[in-house]
Amino acid sequence: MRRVVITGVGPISAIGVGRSDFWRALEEGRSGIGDVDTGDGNESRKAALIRNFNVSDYLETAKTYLDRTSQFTFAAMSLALEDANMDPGDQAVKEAGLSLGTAYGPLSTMHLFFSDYHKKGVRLVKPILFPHAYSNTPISLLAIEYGIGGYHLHQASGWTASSAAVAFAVEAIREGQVHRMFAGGFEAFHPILLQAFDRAGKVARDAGEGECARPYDCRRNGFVLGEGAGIVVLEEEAHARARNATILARVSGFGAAWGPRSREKALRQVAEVWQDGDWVIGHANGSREGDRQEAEALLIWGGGTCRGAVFAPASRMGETLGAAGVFQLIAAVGILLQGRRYPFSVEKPDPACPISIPCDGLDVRRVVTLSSDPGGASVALCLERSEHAVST
Amino acid sequence: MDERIVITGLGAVTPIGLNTEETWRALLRGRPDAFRPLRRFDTRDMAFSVGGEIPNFEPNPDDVALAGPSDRAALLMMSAAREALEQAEWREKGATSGLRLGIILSTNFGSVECAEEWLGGNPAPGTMGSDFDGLSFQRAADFLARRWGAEGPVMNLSLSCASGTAAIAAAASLLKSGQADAILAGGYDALSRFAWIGLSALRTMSRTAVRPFDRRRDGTIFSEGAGALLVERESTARRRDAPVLAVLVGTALNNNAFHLTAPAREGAGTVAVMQQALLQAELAPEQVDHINAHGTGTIPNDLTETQAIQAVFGSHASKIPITSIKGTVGHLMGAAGSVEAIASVLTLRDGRIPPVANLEEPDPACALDYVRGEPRKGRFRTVLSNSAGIGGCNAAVIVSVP
Repeated sequence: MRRVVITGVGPISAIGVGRSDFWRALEEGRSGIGDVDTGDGNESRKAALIRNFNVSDYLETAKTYLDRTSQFTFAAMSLALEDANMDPGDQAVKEAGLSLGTAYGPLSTMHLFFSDYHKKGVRLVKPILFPHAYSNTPISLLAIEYGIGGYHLHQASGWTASSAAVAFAVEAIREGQVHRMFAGGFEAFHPILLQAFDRAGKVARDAGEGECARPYDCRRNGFVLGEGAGIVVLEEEAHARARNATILARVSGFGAAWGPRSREKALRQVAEVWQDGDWVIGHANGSREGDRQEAEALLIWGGGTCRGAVFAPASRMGETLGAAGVFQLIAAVGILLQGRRYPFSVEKPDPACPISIPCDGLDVRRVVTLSSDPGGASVALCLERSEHAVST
Repeated sequence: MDERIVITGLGAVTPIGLNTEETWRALLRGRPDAFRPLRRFDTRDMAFSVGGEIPNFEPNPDDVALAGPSDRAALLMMSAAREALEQAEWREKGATSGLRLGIILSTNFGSVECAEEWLGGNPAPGTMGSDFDGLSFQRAADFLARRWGAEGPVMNLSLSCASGTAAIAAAASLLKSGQADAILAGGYDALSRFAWIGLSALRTMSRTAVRPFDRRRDGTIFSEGAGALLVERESTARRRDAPVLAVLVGTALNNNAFHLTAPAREGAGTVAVMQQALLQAELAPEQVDHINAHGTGTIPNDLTETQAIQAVFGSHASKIPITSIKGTVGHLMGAAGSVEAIASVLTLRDGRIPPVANLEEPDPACALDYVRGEPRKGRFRTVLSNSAGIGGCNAAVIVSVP
């Protein structure tokens, strides 16, 4: 089977922008969570937002209009290309494919377009907005901007979207449909996301110490919303070596499943058992149910015990929904490549979530990421250290 | 392809039929029966008021119990999926053998209709977060997974009007990867205010009729509906003794990389996607007996698609009978590719190609063998179906007789 390697990562998130900044933020335990205007003027709430972002820093050409998700996607692509040491005009870029995912897509443009109709009537909607309101607008814009005419797939698969997008990219390379893929996902904060999740009782409430996301903690009472985009460069190994690319890690497998035991089934697809020392980058975000189910699945996979370390980035960067999976993946690359240890502590562990936390002295050879949607779908990805990996 | 991927079940809900056979009979009649004044929402002040609304859709009560009464997009999809899975006898011959079912749907607008209040401004205090779920397009796939006990991958794609075809291509990939034994591949979209106002703003619609490849054509008309195909590895179908309707021999997905709304010059992306599908199917262009075209009835699409077919098939192009079913059923958006793939499978089965409705004055610039008047009869062994969508995405599938 063709081997698939990662040769570049481009994260733009509330905790860091670009490979080094993102990994350093995870190492330092930096949090991106801060105050946010909810739009209803009632109270100050928390979210992990990308601040001081200027899309023109990342654009090759000026644009008349871009949704916030499209802006993030352009930034992630620009960062990923630079990280993979590729020029936008390279033939290798044009012959590549694209596979992205999102949960809610260009929500702010959908809202802008439709609220004009509500407030002013159908004759005063802005036609230019509508083509920018499709779930797949950002991936289309990337194809156009960079001339990427190859394999093209877009997931709107909820919180598993970017993990599923990476899985399809890996499969497309394995099948030989394409040698190189840009894969990942995007999500942008919008006040109605917070309002809606709030009404559904999913968002963290202030229990005396401000709203926090506390994965696996017995005091957890919900998640804090995040946003951002991430793109990774995936290549068939021989093609990566032919262009002297820096190999960061190898993707050894993916698994996807649905239902009450979907997490465990997805994990078993990538690795039959949890081997001692494997890291897991989980999706735990501080929600009562989701965290417990994740911990249970990991324990079953580990044959009753935690066999390695578990890390949950949503504690710092918020619940990034459809983009969560690619951020987990980029975090995983950092661990494999540089033996980075992300500090993560559960202050008051929930006995129902008995996971172990990162510790020193692990020689990490394998990292598994697990993304789960509240609707029942799970996708796992497995990364292994490549013998050709070059630590930078 | 290592192992053959086969199609074992079909399901459709369209403005011209509440199931596959009804839809197929209407397609063979070739009359523009889909179009009527929209009644689902008030079209006063709107530029367009005639569309392909399904007038008499009665959702299954079990589906309503799961999805609620107002999620029309999901209910349409669930109805088409039920037909496909029942035809393939999945419950009797698959679920009971412990085979893993996956679901891959694709849509433009998902259940956005349920969330219109959220998009329009401040929702009333009683509006539930669950209505907002309609903006997560994964919802219909989850309903189906619950209804049919899916344990494999359950995903939803969004590739504009190439959606239905893309779902079939993605399903083939996942079957090859071993993630599931069978996959329900579906495309769906409902006519909602959000979609209709937006599509009207794109200025690609006709007020009168969809006339694919006719020189008088002046736009497409959007319709609602759903299409579903059960695809599985041939060994799975054999093992469970399922009826094989067709073999899925090639699929391809790409993007024009040209413009968000305008078609590529001379159909370059469509050329590449058809070539890629042929390559995967290991077929020479001469081996394609029929093309089910995207044929939207817009001036640029039908011209560039004709040019693309000429580029790929060369001198053989004029010998291939071609149809577009959109003159009859309208542009089914996310369901278009699914229903067109279903029509392609039924052409293999029945030896009949549905005629292009409203094609009376062929455009001299679209000088290929577009089927007019009566259905074309013959032995068709291999059919290619094309789709394209806003954003420049293209998809193609090739099906062959078992």
